[in-house]
Amino acid sequence: MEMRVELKDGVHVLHIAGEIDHFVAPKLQRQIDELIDADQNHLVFDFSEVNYLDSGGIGVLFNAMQQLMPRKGLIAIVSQDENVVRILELVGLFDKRTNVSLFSDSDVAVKTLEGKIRVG
Amino acid sequence: LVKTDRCADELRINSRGAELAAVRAFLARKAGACGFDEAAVYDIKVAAGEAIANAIEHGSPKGESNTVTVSCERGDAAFTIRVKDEGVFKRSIPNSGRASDYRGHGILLMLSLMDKVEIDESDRGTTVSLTKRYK
Repeated sequence: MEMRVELKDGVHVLHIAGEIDHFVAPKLQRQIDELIDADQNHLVFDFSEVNYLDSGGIGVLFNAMQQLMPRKGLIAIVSQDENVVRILELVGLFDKRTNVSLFSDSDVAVKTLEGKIRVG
Repeated sequence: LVKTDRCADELRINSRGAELAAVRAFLARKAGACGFDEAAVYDIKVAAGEAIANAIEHGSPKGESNTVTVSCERGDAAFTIRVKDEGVFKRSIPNSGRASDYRGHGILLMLSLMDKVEIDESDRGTTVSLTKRYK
């Protein structure tokens, strides 16, 4: 798994490439914790180059969701991988009661989050 | 007479997360050879990945010196993966419904992605059997 953080239009984007499993999940978790500790309430996870994600990655995402919901934070997941999207839908990550939305394009995700943050 | 073509191959790994990718590659090869499509192979990798992560986390009292054994069986109607550890199964199946319940998601995933999930506990370890039908 490769990871890079970008600040774009005031929104932090985590670009991930490769496979997110139980082995690499702690590394992703530490990066997210760092951002949340620095009071970043809105995160874009760009999974455009992620070709595998299992319950290791799902756990990390649910954790981020739970930490950010009390702060009215928003999470955007970017993926076009049918298998990755299917698994995330299966566990209910995009349910209405969550603060997580799915996008197929990273720029659209950033713009949407940026717009929602500005409106408040 | 029912003839079963057993995969002779069995993968034994040290109980550590660094081996997960190698196991996925092994299972993808085996499942692909049975004719499963890409989505089904993905399902198998995720379900087995969960069982193996459980084996590493809960079924390895001596840590990395424990062994996790992954084997597969190509039956007439279905493909079965067995993940055997050296611990004792202590978890109960359901899911508290709490989002933070990692294991809950894992078991939900195994049940959703496979056609049958069996957990066999013995004094010598726990074996999780994951079965997926060919169609």
